[in-house]
Amino acid sequence: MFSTPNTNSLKKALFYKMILPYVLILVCLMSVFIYYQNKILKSDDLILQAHALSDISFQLQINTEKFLLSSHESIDRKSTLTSLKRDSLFLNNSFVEFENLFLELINSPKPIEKLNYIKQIIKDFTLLIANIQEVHEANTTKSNYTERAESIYLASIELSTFVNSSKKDLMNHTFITNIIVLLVFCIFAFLTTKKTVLTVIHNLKEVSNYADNFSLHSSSKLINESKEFEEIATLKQSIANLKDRVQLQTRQVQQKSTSETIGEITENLAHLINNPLAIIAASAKIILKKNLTPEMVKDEAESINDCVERIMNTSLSMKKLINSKQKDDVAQFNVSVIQYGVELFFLNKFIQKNININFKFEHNHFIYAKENEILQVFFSLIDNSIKYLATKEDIENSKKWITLTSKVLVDNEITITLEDSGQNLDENIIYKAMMIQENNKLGLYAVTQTINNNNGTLEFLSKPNTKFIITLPNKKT
Amino acid sequence: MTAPKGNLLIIDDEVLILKKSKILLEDIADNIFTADNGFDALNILAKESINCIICDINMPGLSGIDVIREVRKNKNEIPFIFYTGHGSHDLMREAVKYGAFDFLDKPSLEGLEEVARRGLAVGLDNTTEADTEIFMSDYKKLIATLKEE
Repeated sequence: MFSTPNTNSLKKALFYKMILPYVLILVCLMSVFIYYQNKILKSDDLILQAHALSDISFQLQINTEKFLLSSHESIDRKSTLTSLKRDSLFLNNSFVEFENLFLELINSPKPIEKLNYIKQIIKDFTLLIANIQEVHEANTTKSNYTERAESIYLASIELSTFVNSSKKDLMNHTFITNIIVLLVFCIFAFLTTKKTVLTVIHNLKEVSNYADNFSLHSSSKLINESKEFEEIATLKQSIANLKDRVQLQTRQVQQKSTSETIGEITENLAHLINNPLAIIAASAKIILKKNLTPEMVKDEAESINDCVERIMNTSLSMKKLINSKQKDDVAQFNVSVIQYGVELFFLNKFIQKNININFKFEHNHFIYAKENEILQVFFSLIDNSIKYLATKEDIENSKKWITLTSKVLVDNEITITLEDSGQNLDENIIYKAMMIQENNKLGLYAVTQTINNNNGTLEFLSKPNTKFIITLPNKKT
Repeated sequence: MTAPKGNLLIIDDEVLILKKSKILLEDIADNIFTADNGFDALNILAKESINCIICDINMPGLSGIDVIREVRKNKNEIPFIFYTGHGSHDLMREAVKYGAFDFLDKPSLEGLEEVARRGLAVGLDNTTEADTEIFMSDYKKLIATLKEE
């Protein structure tokens, strides 16, 4: 069924699917960015420090040079000394500030080499400070002061050079880091933007489609569902119609076959009535024309009597059969009714197709059902057997037979077995053949239905011989 | 010496009809043979000189139509009288196609004797003609042989 989308669930889905991943990625990226930014800031700071140190070193170098070149008594010397002292003090005081720089330098590649520099510089500064202090306090010139100043001068040059090169490295490092961060950011921004744009476009499209097709989609789906329902309903109706049709056809077959049965029976009358009549006529003619002995006359009379009995039986069977056709009520009837009916109906066919028909019915066996329906069932089953046996050339004529047997296995039930000489017949063939409902014959479905309607069951066995076992009530329960 | 009446074959699956017919027609034929099925009838035809056949149509195994068809296959133009209670026009047309001599409906026996008599006569004539042809052929052969000698 079509359902209206839930706004809250849509929001949730939107948040978890679209916003949250981007927020997480952005946080991670920002962290990386901040980390590198800090590093860059730190590097910048170090660069400034290195720059300042370089400046101070350079200043110190100049002042030292100035100091060395000045005469001992000149005012310049004093001022230079003052500057030198100030710079030295500043340098000394700034040493703590430069500590980070030094540590950074120590941690940088070739740390031992640089450490030696740093150590040397620190040592030189310490000595310088001490010497300057000494000069300042004593206000005298000492011989080692010049040496120290030269040493400081050289160290300052070295320090300046070292710091400059370190600054260069730091700058390169910062530049590369900046480039990398920028690139990463650009890539991320590009990808995020692209994905976001695509997602937004896709979602917009979906929303647009959803909005555009809302009525059409829902209605078409509903129409489809309605069509499916209609199809099922139509199918159900068709099945019901088919069932009604089969039932109607069955009824029609049952009704129609009354007249058709008489037609079929007429075909058999030649054997059932004309033959005995012919014998009677012949006997009568013999008695009239021939000079017969009393014994011969007696024989002829017996022949006539037998034939009359045969005709009477045929007449009785026909009467019973026709009566049964009019019996729509459930009633008890003798199994011999089936025998009379089958003989009347199929005798000619049995002769033509060379099929022996055997009845193993007990005279005290009864069936409690609709007589005409049960007869129709047996007519259909026997007709099917005759048709099958007639087409089987591999069965010898003398071995073609149909046997009907009645048995009472349970007190209130009778089992009538119809067996023929068809062997190991494929059940499908039987069912296929019997599924066809002809004008005067019930199909298997109708046969089964008829038996079921009369509170009976139909069982089919294909081995060793084709066998239909019909169980029906034998009395009113 | 009396003139030959001819030999009659009656075919019917009803044994009593065979028995009664044999009694009724015994005066009009030299010999009456009976068969209660088509196969036995063909065997008798192969062995005996039959001049006329009275045959039922509707029989188990070989029907009357099957029997006449087999007989005509052997170029035997023996008269066939169909005595049947079936009365099917289709079967009658089929029988006429094979040159049936006459039809009689069961149970009536009226005319059976008369028709059988005529059939035997025709059958005998056919046999005589055939015998004459055979005799003439043999005679011509004999003359030819004598001339050569």
